[in-house]
Amino acid sequence: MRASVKKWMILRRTVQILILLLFLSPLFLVKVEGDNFFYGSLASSQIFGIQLSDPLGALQVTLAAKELHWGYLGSALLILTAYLLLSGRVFCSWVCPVNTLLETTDLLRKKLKLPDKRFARNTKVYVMLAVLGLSFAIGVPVFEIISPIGSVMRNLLFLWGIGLFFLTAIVLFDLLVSKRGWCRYFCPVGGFYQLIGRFGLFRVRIDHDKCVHCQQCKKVCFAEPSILEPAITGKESFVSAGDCSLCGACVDVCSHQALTLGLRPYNQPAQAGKSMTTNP
Amino acid sequence: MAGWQALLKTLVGGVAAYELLRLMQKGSKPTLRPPGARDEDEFLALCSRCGKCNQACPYDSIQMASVDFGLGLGTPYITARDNPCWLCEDFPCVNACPTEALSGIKVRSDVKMGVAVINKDACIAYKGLRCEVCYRECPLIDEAITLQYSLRPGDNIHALFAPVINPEKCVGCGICEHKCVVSDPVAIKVTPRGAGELL
Ligand code: SF4
Ligand code: SF4
Ligand code: SF4
Ligand code: SF4
Ligand code: SF4
Repeated sequence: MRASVKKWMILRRTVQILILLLFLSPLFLVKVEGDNFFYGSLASSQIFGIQLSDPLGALQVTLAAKELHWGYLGSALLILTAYLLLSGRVFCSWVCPVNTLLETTDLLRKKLKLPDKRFARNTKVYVMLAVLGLSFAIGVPVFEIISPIGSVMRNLLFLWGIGLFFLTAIVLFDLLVSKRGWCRYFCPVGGFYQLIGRFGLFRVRIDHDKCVHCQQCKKVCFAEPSILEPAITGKESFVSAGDCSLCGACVDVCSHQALTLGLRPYNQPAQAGKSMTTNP
Repeated sequence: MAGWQALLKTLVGGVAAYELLRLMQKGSKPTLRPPGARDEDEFLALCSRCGKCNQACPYDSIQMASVDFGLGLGTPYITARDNPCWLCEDFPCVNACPTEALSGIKVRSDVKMGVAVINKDACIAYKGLRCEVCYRECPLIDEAITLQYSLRPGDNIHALFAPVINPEKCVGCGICEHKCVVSDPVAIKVTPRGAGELL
């Protein structure tokens, strides 16, 4: 059987580009009556007058400042709700500019033979907790300063050269040490979305009758190949791990059409409950 | 098991990061912040580094801090000599700020970015030349800055028209510093609010 067109890949690329264009729009759109319909960055933005803010950033600021600002928290809640419904790490593969960049790094890896060190994928959850703890202790939203996501945005929007060092380190780390290492194991934003990711309404579903255990899907998984394991071995009827970013690469690559991306089915086998508690 | 190891590593990393960040904190320096900025420590905590204030400013007065700002990396600041705050009537920067890092400004006199300080040795008005540029350009003319007339010391023909700052009224916008005709050193300079206490 032949693999079909990479329709998720095409859709995802389109969304990635549209999102980049949206954020860059204040740079090339002439301001209409002094105001752009959209401005801001991934930390906080405004579209048609509606404020939207990054939930993890809002948590850091709130802990650092030890003050509650309801307008700001409300704007973060809007984004949080959206990802709660979709699935947390949709942010990672469909929106995050660092992923867009690191996907190109990953292409380079294919050409060269490079080592791939694996880490525990829950590390990023602990990094996220550490970021929150440090923000509280030092009184500064810690990750907002060094965040590669922040530096990509700031460099694209404001001027070149702001805090590029951390971003460069990550690119080198992904290239020379660990395949997709930053996103898979360390990014606190990814960790945050991993935590809420298992509740999402959308999931990668598996048709056990069609799956021939060829493991093609595991080779292309953005998040971490092991998250597909319970589905392939028949323990789960859908990928339950919060790590899944719904990138659709596994669906695209499966030449047996065993995988689909869609609404969460209700018929998860009983033993899945266990794997859900051990794999956030 | 792997989880606990990760937790331990994170803790170790966390302590290292804490020390590093504390070092960076010492590197943070007082700088001119946009209108309505909270006191420096609170500001560093509240600012989400989103850059909305930068994009909202119609005069491109606001710059985003680079690595040499320590913990202030990514925060907005103003270099008055290059491009001061032009004190917009409606303060778009303050309105754009989602976190209230910039807040509490209704009218111009609410602004307290800093206080202009005149270097009498550099200011040509104090040498007897009529200049008055800072005085004329100040949006709070005759309030924040006044001209003091006096006879030149040891000279009973020529008068001095010396600019004098009223620190109570000066909002620290830096327009005077931007317009000052003397450079190197500039004869009038805004001392950012945070740094004022050090002087
Ligand atoms: S893990 Fe972090 S860097 Fe990677 S895609 Fe997600 S948010 Fe972006
Ligand atoms: S399981 Fe599939 S959809 Fe989820 S991250 Fe991996 S490749 Fe992408
Ligand atoms: S008051 Fe106006 S000129 Fe001054 S920083 Fe704000 S937006 Fe810019
Ligand atoms: S708008 Fe507010 S939170 Fe955003 S960069 Fe400016 S001061 Fe910071
Ligand atoms: S900084 Fe200069 S221009 Fe601005 S209010 Fe003070 S004296 Fe006037």
